[in-house]
Amino acid sequence: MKARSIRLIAGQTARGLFRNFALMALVVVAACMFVLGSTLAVALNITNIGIQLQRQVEIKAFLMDGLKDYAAVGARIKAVPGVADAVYVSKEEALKRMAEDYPDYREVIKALPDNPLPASFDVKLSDPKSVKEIAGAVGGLEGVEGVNYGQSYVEGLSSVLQVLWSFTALILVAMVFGSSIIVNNTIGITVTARRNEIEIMKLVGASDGFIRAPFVLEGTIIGFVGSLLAGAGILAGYGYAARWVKDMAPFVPLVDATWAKAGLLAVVLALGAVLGAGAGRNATNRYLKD
Amino acid sequence: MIQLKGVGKIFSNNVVALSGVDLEIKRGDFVFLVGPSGAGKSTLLSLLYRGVKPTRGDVVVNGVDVKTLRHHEVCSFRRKLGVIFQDFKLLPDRNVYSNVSFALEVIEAPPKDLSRRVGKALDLVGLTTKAKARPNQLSGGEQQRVAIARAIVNDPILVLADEPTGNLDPETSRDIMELLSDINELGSTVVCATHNKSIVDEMRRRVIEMEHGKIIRDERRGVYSFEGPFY
Repeated sequence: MKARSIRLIAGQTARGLFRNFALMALVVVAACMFVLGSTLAVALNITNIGIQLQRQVEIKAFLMDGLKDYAAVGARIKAVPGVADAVYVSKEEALKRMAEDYPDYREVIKALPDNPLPASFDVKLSDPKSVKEIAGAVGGLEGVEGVNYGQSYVEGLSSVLQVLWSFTALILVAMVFGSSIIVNNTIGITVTARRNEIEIMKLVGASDGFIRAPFVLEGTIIGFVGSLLAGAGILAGYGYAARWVKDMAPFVPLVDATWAKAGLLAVVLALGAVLGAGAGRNATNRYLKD
Repeated sequence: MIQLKGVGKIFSNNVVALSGVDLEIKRGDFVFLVGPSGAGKSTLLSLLYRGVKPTRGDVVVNGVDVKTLRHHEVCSFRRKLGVIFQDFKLLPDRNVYSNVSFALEVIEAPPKDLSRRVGKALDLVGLTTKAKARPNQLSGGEQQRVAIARAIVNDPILVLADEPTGNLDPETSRDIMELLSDINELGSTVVCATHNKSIVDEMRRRVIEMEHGKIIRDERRGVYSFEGPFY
């Protein structure tokens, strides 16, 4: 495309952006992207809570009584796919932990003639979703008496997270779909207000690409700037909500990292720009049909 | 220049706009299309610039079969035509010069020719001194002149005018028709749909009368109302 044509398209775009309908579209897109971005932030945190809870899942591998070469068993456990680490817990350490965990029974524990607790490995997982399979593999290793991974807790957590993620995904898809319809219709109005311009361009023989370009560019800019406004609102609101949750429920692991907020903003901006460009294209195409 | 054979047009709401239209217009002709509202004049003009496609029959303009024209070929086809409407269709936020140059800019005409061609078109329609005025600062007649300048700036072989004097007073209408006549003398074929009886009667050009989507009269030097044998 020639430089002069690019200047003309930029001029057309600028003219479109300084009209009342463009301002209306900007406000609607900003509101839409704010709701969508907020839903995305909630989804991000639900996912994070789920991941954090799953990370806490670990396997306890109890060793056979009297086993001397626990290092070899540890090496075999670490070699199982999905295992991130295995930390040896001696019989003495196990008893000490028990006394710490149950201070009311400290005297009873002290009075025991022998240490009844077996030595074990605390097995941390790199793939918590496969805990059942990993536990089976570890349990079958030579020197391992048995395993415990809180089967009912893990399975319950998995099914709750599954439902929660499916629901969040459904809400997100619905929000993206709804937002795209609203953005489409709103930017469609700005294009309709300039259909005379499109008609003139068609009559004088402008190509479809040439006619479409300023409207797609205008839609992209409205989508991007609207999302920028929404993003600023989301980040401000997110900071406030994060502080509130930290005070009220400090055990809830909210995502507060800069990269997460930057990622959220990037997704909202990209989505806004893409929806805006698509809306500009769709609306113009209505007037370019034969 | 223009050949129509057995042309029919039925719109999606089942309205029959044209039926069995046969017509031939030679290069350099000046033709008036007359007839009551709803007779099919605008649809016929629209077929000629491929605003709509015929439902049946053949429409050939300057050797191009309009019906089989592909979508991406329509723009280059239209670059050889000039179209004028009753409501002028000017861009209100551009001045006169810019409205005319727009027609060249969107087809990516060479920039070095731009001011010369726009100047020539504005000179022909007598608006050189108003090049910087906005459409809302012009009279109806002047706005139509701008629309005409935009239609002819690309040196079209065919100018299609749909009720170009519909919004204008009799004197201004006469000026506009004289302008179209001048354009015709410069070599463009002109097809003009009009209800303006006095001008048609005065100019004595070829008159095609339509009614209910059919051609009912075609006279070489006709008047608005029928007054002689069929051509």
